[in-house]
Amino acid sequence: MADYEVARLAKSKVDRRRFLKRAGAGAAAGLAFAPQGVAQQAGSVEVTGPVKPGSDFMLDVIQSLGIEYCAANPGSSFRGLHESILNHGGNKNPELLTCLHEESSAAMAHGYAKIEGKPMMIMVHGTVGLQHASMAIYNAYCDRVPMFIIAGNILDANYRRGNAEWVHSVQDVAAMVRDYIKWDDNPVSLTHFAESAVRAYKVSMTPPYEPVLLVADGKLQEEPPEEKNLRIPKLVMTAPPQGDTGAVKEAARMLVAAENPVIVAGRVARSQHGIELLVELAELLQARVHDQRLRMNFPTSHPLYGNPGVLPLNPNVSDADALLGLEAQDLWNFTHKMTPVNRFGMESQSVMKPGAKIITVSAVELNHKSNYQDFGRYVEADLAITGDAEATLPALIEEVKRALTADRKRAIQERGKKVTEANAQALRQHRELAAVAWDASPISTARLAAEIWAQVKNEDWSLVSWDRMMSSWPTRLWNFSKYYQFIGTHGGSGMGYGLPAAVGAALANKKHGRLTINIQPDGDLCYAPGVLWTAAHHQIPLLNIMHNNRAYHEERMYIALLGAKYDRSPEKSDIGTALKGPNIDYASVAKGFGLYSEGPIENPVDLGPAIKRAIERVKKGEPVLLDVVTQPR
Amino acid sequence: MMRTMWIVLLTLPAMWAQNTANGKKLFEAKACYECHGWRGQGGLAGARLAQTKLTLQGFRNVLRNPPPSNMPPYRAAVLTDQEVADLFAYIQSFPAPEPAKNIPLLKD
Repeated sequence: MADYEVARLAKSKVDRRRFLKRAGAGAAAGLAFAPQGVAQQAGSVEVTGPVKPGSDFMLDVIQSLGIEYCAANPGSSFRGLHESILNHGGNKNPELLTCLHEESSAAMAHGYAKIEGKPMMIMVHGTVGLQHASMAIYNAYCDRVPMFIIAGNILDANYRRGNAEWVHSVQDVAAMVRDYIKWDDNPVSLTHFAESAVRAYKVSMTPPYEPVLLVADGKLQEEPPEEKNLRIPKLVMTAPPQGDTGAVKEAARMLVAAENPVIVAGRVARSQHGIELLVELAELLQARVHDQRLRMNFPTSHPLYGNPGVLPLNPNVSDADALLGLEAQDLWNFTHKMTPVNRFGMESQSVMKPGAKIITVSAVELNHKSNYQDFGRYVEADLAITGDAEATLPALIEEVKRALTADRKRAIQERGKKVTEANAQALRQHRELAAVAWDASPISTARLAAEIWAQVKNEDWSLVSWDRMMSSWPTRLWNFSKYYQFIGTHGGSGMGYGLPAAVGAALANKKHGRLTINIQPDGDLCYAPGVLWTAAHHQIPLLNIMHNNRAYHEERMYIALLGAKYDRSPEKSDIGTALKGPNIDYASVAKGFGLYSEGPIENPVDLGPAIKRAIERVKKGEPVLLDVVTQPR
Repeated sequence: MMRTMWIVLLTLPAMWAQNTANGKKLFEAKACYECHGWRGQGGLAGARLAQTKLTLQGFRNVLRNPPPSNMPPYRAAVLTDQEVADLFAYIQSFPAPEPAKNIPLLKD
């Protein structure tokens, strides 16, 4: 604290001297403003004494929040903080991660938070950097992920030194992303910065988790503090909101009374404890759990795992007489069927049994916004509980235990046996389906998943990529049980998330010694491949295996579908969607960024040995990339 | 007349072979492999075609009027009856897979 006081005194001395020099020069030139040369002369005033910039205090505040990393592409509007991280903070907590694109910074923070359970800091220019980062911020917002964004800006027009600082300055920094962040502020003093930084962290980490943004003004960063008695407010985390006691009791009564309750789990589990709670509830009720695979919510080998063999985002829940949606995404879409794209018009109807009850538990309703439509269609729930699902589960479990009578327990056990048998049958079917096209080239996605699994199943592994684009074969063939073994998806369907999120997740896994696996779609990699260099530079161990199917296949399917609807041949549907002519050589791309790489691998027989070699490198602390040429899905 | 009959008889096997080859071309050109895979193995985007139990007529019916799904309708303007037959011949040529129990990676 004494340092800041000394700095304040030194600052006042500087300002007096600068004023006298400027006044003299301005008078001599006869101008209302000082010419640039004079301004430079004024700026060259030497300062003696132990002066510290305001950014040192800002960093002290940030360090008090326990933030481990700061991802940034360098920018002049936050150069003060950048310098303080290196020289005042010793580049520790946070450690600076050199990024080649702001979208990579934000997506790295996205992946990191889903493993580590807390935000990474990113720094961006208030204008161009935030514009670059905005799509990845939107993804994080839709995926309910915390992120601590510092945006540099120079609010005081008199402090801007040239064109670059004018085009990098803005009146309202957060305006362009305010629709998809949870909170922001534009502090005008260091005291204000400290309070808002602590508040921002707390807001970001209160369910529903979301990104927050704080502006770091250039003048506040670079000048010595003017304020007395600077202090860092105490951070006390908010307990996550729990559902209303009476409503939870009613939900338990409805679930116990149901003949066939079904649970749909969206973003429920934040930890191993969250998985354990959901298992306990499912077992008490002997209810099958449809995991939307937006987080690792439920063990895939559990007898009550409800969606082997079906698209995880569209489970069949038509047999349920009570449906419990826990932080479910787009629950309406499960309970209704709609006119598909290959038909004209749009009609919808419920698929639920008459009289079936719908219960929802979600904290997302605490943070609805208007403009972006990520909230999905309105769910006509019979009981809607506003509260964080993981925080509400203990109370719901207790109420279910109280409501269970001996008769109900007997009936419940019978339905559990049916789900168990259906699961075992589905698993056998998966294996038979995986055998089809086993020796094909391009390599089938089932073969790819099986070959990876054979090499990683005895490791402490973490799959950090979504698997729907490869027909969910890992979900269907692997044994997922730990919270870090699957982290869901991009959230906002913004492409370019995969690779940087994997690098961020791998960074979080590094200190735990986990083997991080990223099955990387080719189209996604091409958005900002420079993050490969970031992984190499910071020695982030990561096994990247390309799912190189050489096209944006989903979009091609849509083009073919719409054309055929009007009797037009799909033959041209590869125009604008295929990534051929020339084929992209991802092994060379990775090598250029400093990674060990192999490929293209087209013969499935070569796959297992290549994965084995790659894992040996990853275990030594390297990121690697294998380019595998695959079937579309 | 006699000469024409001989020509038909001599070229019949070649016509069947050509049909399968044409079916292979159509399988790619009409984007079937996008959802069903290069070997008709299927996936979450499309049903398995390999070792289909459909007859040619059933196959044609599904193509012309698919069930509500993301399957495009392939009417005669896009795929003639002859082309449907060629496509069906190609799909029937997909090799039968090994049982999973014979593949070490799929045993457990």
